[in-house]
Amino acid sequence: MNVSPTMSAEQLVGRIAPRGTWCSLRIVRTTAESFAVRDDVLLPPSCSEDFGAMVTVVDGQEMGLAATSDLSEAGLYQAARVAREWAHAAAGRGVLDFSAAPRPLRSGSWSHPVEQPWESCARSDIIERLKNACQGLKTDDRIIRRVASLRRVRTESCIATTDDIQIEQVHDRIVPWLMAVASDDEDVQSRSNGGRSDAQLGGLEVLERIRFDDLPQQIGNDAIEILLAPVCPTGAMDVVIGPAQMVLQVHESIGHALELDRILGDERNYAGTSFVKIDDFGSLSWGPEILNVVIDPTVEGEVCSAGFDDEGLEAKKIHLIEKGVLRRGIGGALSAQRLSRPEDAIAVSRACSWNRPPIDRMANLNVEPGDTSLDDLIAAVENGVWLDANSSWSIDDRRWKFQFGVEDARLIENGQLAGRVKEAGYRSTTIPFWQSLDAVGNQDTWQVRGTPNCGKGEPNQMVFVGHAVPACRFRGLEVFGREG
Amino acid sequence: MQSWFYDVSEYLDSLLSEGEQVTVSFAGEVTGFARISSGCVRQGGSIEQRELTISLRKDGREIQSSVMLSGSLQTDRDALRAIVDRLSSAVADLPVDPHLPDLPDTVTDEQRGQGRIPVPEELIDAIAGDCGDAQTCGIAITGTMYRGVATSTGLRRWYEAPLTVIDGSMHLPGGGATKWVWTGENWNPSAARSSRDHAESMLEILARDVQTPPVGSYRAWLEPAALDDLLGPVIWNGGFSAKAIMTGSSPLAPIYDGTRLDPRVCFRENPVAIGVPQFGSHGHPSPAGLDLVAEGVGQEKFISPRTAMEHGLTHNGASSGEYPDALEMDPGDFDPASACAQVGDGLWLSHVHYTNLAAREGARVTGVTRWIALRVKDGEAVAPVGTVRIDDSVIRLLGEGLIDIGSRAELLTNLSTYGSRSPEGSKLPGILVEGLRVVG
Repeated sequence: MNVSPTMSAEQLVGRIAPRGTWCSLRIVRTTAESFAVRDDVLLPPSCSEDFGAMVTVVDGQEMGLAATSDLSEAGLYQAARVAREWAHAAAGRGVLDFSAAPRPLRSGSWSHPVEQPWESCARSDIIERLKNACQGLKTDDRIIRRVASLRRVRTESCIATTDDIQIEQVHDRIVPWLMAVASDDEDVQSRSNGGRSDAQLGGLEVLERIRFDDLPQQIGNDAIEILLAPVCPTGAMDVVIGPAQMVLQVHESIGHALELDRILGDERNYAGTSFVKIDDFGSLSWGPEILNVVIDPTVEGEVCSAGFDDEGLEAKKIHLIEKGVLRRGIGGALSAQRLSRPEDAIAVSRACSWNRPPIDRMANLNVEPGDTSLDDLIAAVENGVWLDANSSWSIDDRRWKFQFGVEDARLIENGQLAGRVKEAGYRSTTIPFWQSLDAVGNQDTWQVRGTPNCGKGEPNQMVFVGHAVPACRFRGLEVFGREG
Repeated sequence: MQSWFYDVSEYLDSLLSEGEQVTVSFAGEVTGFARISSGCVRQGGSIEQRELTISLRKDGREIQSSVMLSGSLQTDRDALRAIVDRLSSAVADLPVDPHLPDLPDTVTDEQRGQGRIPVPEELIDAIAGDCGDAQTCGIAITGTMYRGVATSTGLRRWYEAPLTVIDGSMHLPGGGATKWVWTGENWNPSAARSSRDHAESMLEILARDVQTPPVGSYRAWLEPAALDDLLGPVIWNGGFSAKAIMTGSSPLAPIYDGTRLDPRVCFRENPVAIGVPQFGSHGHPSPAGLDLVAEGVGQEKFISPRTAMEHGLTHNGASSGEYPDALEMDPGDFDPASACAQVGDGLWLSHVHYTNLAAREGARVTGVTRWIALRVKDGEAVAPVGTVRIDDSVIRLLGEGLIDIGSRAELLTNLSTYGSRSPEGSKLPGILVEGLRVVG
């Protein structure tokens, strides 16, 4: 991707760099298109093009940044001077000597397969498909509100540095959304396609992967069942958590807890810190031996599969928790260096767009499948509950004490799924929760899922995060219904 | 920036074909920021962005496109023409939108704030450097925010305001932490320093041993920011939205249908008092002086132009999400300085972190303590409480559970910077409540 018709980004960064500085140019173009049908009416379609660049200048030991939507050579030249001013303003007050910070070492490019490009489908066909989906949600007169929407987000990025490095990547992401709200004189309840966790990498083939056209009727029926269901009982019980809730569970109580910038203290003022200490790496028993958690940038269709991160580090699969033991945290090369653990750097330093600097983020944070079938997960529960699809989430700033609610809850009685219940929630603390893990679902229960809504950082950043997770069984959780 | 925006709007008008109308909405900023960790600069820099949203309508259909522009009409001309061509072609293929609202009446106005913006060194000075044993952390952010709307029918509205926000915290080695926020149009380093000093003065009590209260119900004083935290999920789940109230999905639907909050509770939307833009993305005048709750009873609601078309109502200029941008709650007579004395045995909370709706019924909200959360005994704050989970009904807390309302309403600037800086905010007092539920 070039911003200049006459020169590469690599050449451009050499022309704009202030003399005697190290300089990088990170150019990002995000094009998005959205269609939504609400109660059978198409809302005004929208599209967007967000195109800009972040210039990073290291002058002496200091670093300065300047983000601009003026991509002319003159605009970028000016931005580089502004970045240098910020570096000078921070003189002697930086968190580290940025001249010794890790830098991209290898040029390259990365993209992923797209079977059915978004552009290959007429907009009228997409609208028709959404209208059908919206109609399909209306399974009963008590369904009072229905939404079917699709968003496509294409991100092209290019990193170029004065070390003659150029890295280019392209991601195409699809975000499907279906929701039905059911109401009677007594109550209002809603059901969606998995608590906003159906984002995937690819083209329109994603819709076949998630059975998009079959989902509306199921979601509509579920909404009515939830409306009529009794409130979830309260008490300590065994639970089987489905993949659409495991996404949130893993995200909040493993992913964020392991981010190195939280442990370093960078996030203390906003997202928070972590109960995890540096000494815990290599020794802390996070859960039983059946728990294996990885960062895996190679999973087909998962939203954060990639070849590099936004600081140019090459991506590869790596264990964070291996056989229950915490091995390393989630941090890019800079954070790993700050913690004197450069060997633990992972390609997870990511920015939401051109106008924010990269920080430590989850990428594809996955739980490896185990060997227990879904039937067997349930069969070993005498009195418990099935919990799936997040509806409410809250966790403390150390990522220790949490409370989550779900859309999809069913009693488990004598090893079999029984009646549906509503407004189910559960609360626990992170390590005791994961220590109560009793079985990990097999490959058949493992789903590639993803969310577009992970917020963190100052200035704030919202990014896509991928989670491929199986269903899992936990013993003796505190479960509750409406009264909490 | 303003003249450039109007030039862009006129250029877009010149590209329209017969029967087409266009609404052009602009959000821009020139921002400087310094992010601090352990008293030192982690990231510092500038952000310049100019995002234009073009909504093109014809024959009862509308389609829109957003684009980030360079700031030079000469440079952006081709991109703008391509967008209009694309929208013009696509709009004809859309079905007629039965709920498409009319464009607003033609009007020209502007809101323009003035004040000094600190240079980078001053911004860093304001927040960097540690305080004794405590490490400082946070972000200082400054610059001018711009909003504008223009229509091909002649409407021209403009807002620009400088704003500096120092959002910092101090962290003790044992884990206790105190937060401070200073915001202002006109940079005032001594006022910012006072806020920082006040936060520093709280470190002494936060260094004491934690006394975690057992599960139970407590009399509690909630500072304005804590009340804001509890109201957040109620609002973004449709609290005051006409559409959500009509369908019963608003957590506050009961207060519009017979359930009464304490008669001292009054909420209104007041963009003038809070200094937010007085127009929405399509140029409609924002709801002003909208009495949402009067004497504890639900009154007016946010009605967007689309909801009005759909349900045969009269809109009040609300945004499509039907959220408040400038929520104000009437203060009461209670002196916040006497909060501990009136709590007697209970809790004093500055914030409730990571709140979310736990159940729609009763507007039940859950969250955890963070920053200054104190155990109060015999009318004195005696110790930090550490992290405890709160789970309670906002309707109950503002109804039968409400003891008193603080006499000082605090301006709480929206600190969110997702995508762009935000001019929104709220003005709330603290509240003294009975029976605040601690669940773990």
